[in-house]
Amino acid sequence: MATIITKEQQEKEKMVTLVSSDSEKFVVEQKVAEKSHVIKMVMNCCGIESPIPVRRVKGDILKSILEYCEKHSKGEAQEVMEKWDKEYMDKAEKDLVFFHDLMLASHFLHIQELVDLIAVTFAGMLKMKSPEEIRQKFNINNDLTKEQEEHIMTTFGWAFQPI
Amino acid sequence: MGRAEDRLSELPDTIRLQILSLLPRKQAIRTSILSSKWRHLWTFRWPYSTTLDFSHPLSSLKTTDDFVHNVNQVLQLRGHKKVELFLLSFHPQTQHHMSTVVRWLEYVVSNGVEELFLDLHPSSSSSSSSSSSSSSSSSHEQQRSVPFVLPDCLFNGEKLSVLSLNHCNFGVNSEFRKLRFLETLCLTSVGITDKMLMDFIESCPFLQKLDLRQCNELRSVRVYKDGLKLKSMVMVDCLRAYQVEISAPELRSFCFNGEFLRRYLFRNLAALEDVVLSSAGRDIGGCITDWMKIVPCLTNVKLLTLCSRAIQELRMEMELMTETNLSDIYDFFRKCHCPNLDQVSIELPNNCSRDPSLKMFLKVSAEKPMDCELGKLKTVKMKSFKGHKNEMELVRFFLDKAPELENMFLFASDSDSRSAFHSMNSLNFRGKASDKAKIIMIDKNFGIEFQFPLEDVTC
Repeated sequence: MATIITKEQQEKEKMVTLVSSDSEKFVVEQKVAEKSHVIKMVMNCCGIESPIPVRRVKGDILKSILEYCEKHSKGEAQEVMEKWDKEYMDKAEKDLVFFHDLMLASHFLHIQELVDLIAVTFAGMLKMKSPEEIRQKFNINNDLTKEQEEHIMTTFGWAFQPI
Repeated sequence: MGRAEDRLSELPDTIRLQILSLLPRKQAIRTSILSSKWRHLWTFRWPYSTTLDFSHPLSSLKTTDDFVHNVNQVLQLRGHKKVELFLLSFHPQTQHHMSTVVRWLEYVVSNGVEELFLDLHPSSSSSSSSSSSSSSSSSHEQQRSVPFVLPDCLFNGEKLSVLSLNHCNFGVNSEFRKLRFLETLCLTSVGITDKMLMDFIESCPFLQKLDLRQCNELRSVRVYKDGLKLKSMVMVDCLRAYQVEISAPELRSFCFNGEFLRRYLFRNLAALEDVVLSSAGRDIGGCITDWMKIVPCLTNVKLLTLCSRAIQELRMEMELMTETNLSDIYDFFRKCHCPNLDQVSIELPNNCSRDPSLKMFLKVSAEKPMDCELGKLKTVKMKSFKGHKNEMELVRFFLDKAPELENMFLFASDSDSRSAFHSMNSLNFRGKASDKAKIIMIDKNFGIEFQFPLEDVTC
């Protein structure tokens, strides 16, 4: 029993400091930071003694990402994780700007699990929506010419029919 | 209001492609019209072809075994890669071939197939049969051949959105729960029971299109479920069916062809706009009157097509058909309430002039139609128009009763275009309810169109 505690303590000592683009500091366990392939490589070559700057990620995003990494470094049961992921996504997707930044950051930090999770959520947002609804939701400006649109409709008109 | 940033389109292509690869094919194609940044992106979702089309006839020299070998080789070389479309026309005659088809299905399902077209009809085999069966014996063989039973693996196809099956049977214990994204189900000559169909409908919440043809195990077709999204339904020649029960609030079109059923229970059809009811020559007696019982729930129908055409072999019953049929149509408009009806299309019997004795029966219906609401009717089409007296009555009826009528198209019968023309020419067009109504007769034989009354034509 005692040895286990010391092991945990030893691990706890392996903390690393990450600094966001807006200079917010986050002190996390090494195994949490390792979830990011990019940070893992940095730690491997530069060690964990000095703070690691994450220049392209803002504080609120990094905080959310580290929250995800921490939960996913615990090795909990699959059902527990799925439920947690869903709640995490439900919260994140409410703010689209935040959600995009989260996607970019996890792509940049190379956290493939999170990229996959966000991609699935994005796909869910596009599903069952008309092109016009998608344009509105994501502020997409339709810059296609009438001819281009007609060409798409003649080639793939069937995909646009409700049935 | 300033336009906010379009951050989705700004995401790196790899991410956008990942998102697109998670969408069903149809949805991915739809993104092509979003903007120029999306137009071609979907085509790069998979860096290889995702369509496996084995539905075209191969060289006539090829035997069934060659065909099987060819498919096997393609699948093996391809390896474990995404499949979107799988089309197969093949008639498995031996046990060995059947288990081969099962393996192919396992392959495409495990690779996430989305649209599956399986045609196992003997005549549609891609390859010439290895046995020398002549066409005259094929119907015989059809009866003898053991139907292909769909393997359970097919029903694990969680990505399936289109399932089109021809000439095969469902296993007794097929479970459809995993097909929850299915949108289109087309069954032709498929052994499916009433219970299985109900299971299907229960299991597929996104089902939008249901197409049942020659499914002769169906007896009582029941289509209802909470939140049913069904928009289109087709039922053709399901010979043993005796009743159909539909409750589908989003159903927009219903097409029925076949023997008249004993019962039609239609509820909850507020969105129904397009109805085709055709007896296609079978069971000629009094069908349209019976169809009328459906009608209370057709209040939103905009387009109604009634076909009750006699086929040549049923000559003896022709007279019944012509006379009662037209009075049935009157009856139909008299008794049913279709205030939104926009278009009427009537297929008139087309071969009665060949038998002179029949003309005696072409009497005008004694009953005059009463007032009815056709306030929105804009188009009337009649095919095989011969200008017989009862047909003229019908023309008169529509001219009198449809104040908004814009076009009446009369397609002259091949054999009787002259009498059609004379009858129309002698009709008095004064007093028609709609001023703008154009009456156009089309004579395909001579490739001419007439607009009535003829004085109006200025050329």
